[in-house]
Amino acid sequence: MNRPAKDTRWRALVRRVAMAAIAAVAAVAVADIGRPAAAQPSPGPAPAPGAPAGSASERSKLSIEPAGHAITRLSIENPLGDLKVEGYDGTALQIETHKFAPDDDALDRLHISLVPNPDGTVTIRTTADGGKEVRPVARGAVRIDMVIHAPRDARVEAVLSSGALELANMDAGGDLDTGSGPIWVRNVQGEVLTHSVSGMTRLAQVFGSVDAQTLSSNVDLDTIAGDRLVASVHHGRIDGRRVRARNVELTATEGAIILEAEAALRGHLAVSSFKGDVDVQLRRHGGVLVRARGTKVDLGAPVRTQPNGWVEASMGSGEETALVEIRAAHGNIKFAIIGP
Amino acid sequence: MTMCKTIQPRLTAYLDGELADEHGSVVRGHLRECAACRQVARDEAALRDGLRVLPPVDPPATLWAGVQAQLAAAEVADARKPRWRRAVARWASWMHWARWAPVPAMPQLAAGALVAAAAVGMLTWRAHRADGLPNRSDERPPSMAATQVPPPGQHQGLSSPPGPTGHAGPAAPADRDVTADLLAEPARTTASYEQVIEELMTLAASARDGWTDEQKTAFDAKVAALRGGITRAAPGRPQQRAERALIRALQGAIVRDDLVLASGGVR
Repeated sequence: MNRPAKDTRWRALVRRVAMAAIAAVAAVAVADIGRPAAAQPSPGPAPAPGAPAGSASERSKLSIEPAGHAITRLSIENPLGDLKVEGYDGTALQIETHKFAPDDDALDRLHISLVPNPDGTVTIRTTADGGKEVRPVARGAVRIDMVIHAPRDARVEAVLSSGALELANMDAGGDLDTGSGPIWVRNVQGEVLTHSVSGMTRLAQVFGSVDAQTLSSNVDLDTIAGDRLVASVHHGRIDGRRVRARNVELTATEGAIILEAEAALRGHLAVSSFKGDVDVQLRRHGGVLVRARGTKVDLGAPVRTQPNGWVEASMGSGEETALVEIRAAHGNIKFAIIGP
Repeated sequence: MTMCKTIQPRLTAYLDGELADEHGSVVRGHLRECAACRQVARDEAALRDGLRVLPPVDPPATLWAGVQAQLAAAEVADARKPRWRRAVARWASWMHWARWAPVPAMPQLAAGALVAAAAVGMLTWRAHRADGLPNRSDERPPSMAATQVPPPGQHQGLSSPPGPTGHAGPAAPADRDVTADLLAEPARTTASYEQVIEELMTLAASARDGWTDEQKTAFDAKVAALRGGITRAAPGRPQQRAERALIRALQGAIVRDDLVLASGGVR
């Protein structure tokens, strides 16, 4: 008769032992999460120089291996901090985040949501919870920085506010948007679109069409090779080096433009500033027709002055002549052929 | 029977063509001789075909709000749990992610599946502590100890390139809560764009004196069309995109003489 009671006690004991074992395993697993695996390409993000002076911070790591469909597009919105997306030769998405806040309560308000879609798009958004019951925290006191290692052939669409946005080593271009945060693109293939209100925009080693627009900041272009390069600033300057595109259109309302480019056969370069000097140095293949109109024009060659105020010069010969148009309504123009 | 238990969970992946050669071969071989599993595979394939012909379904606008509300409720419940239960839950959440890859995916062809996947896959992940539990540091890293919060537009992070940065619209009140500040941001950005548009319109008014009537008409029509686009665009990024288009067009007219070319004149 005692047997059933004994069984029950035995089962209860076994259950307690099992639960203790599960809890122990869980604790070990939680402690292990986030430790960089040997195969991961880099350690966690370096502390951001602009991180707010808070007293609580939290790091996290996540690796997502796609099921079925490769990750083809990343859509990221991080209005609370920096973002760096770096391509690597892998299929998984590796996300490292670092949150900062004045205290644990404020830290708990910072969230990162991640939505993987079956079409290969992964959407990542950072938010800060609100509500009447929370103690107000100034925006400058909280921060979420993210470093993402993504498959190279994923296209990146990112929107930031005042944080720095960096895109590197990707093969499918991107569409990048910031408020006042700087944009830095390097070693990227594919179409690259950048928009910033007042963030310095720097593109280096971009192999594809580029469209960069800012309102009040500079644009720096280094080693751009693609079919089309369009860059415009309202207040700010444009600097371009080692630019090679069939169609180049650089426009500044108020700011200088300095361009060192290579003329493509039958290419078209339009470099225009309303209030600012323009300095163009060109490596040419075949003939080049240069037309310029500005306060003072120096084309470095004999010129023909047209009745409408344009100054023209032809250099070299050949049927596939490139056309260079330079305007500086209230500025000086300097043009020179460089190289052999 | 043991073989069937092993094979059946892999059928979806097999039908999706996701199994590596050797695993696919095992499943194929088993299906040749097991009528029960063959039937399961047929049913699965029929289900996939059925899903494939379903018309696309637009998720209702309320879906996202609903998901967020449920997440918020879940977080409130989570906060009330003892610390050890939260730790276990985090671990379980991590295990869910880890399983995401190897678990055979449902057929991802129909919009219904898309909505379901989005709803199920939507996660807010709390910190998987990198350095063990707890990882919330009460001390700032040395490199950050002396760092001050940069004013908007002067932040330089992530090895950011050198150069000046300006500001994005009117400054936000320093004591405003982060949530309210985030909500106000699109309006600030739009204000910046509007300010530049006004500056360019002023320049255009000056340049107008040198235009022909035809050019003036073309300019006014273009500006009206682009302003209409701004009005029609949804607030936020679509509206900002439309404003950027207007800025580009105004720059073209003022800086590049695009109007002259468009009207057949000589630049």
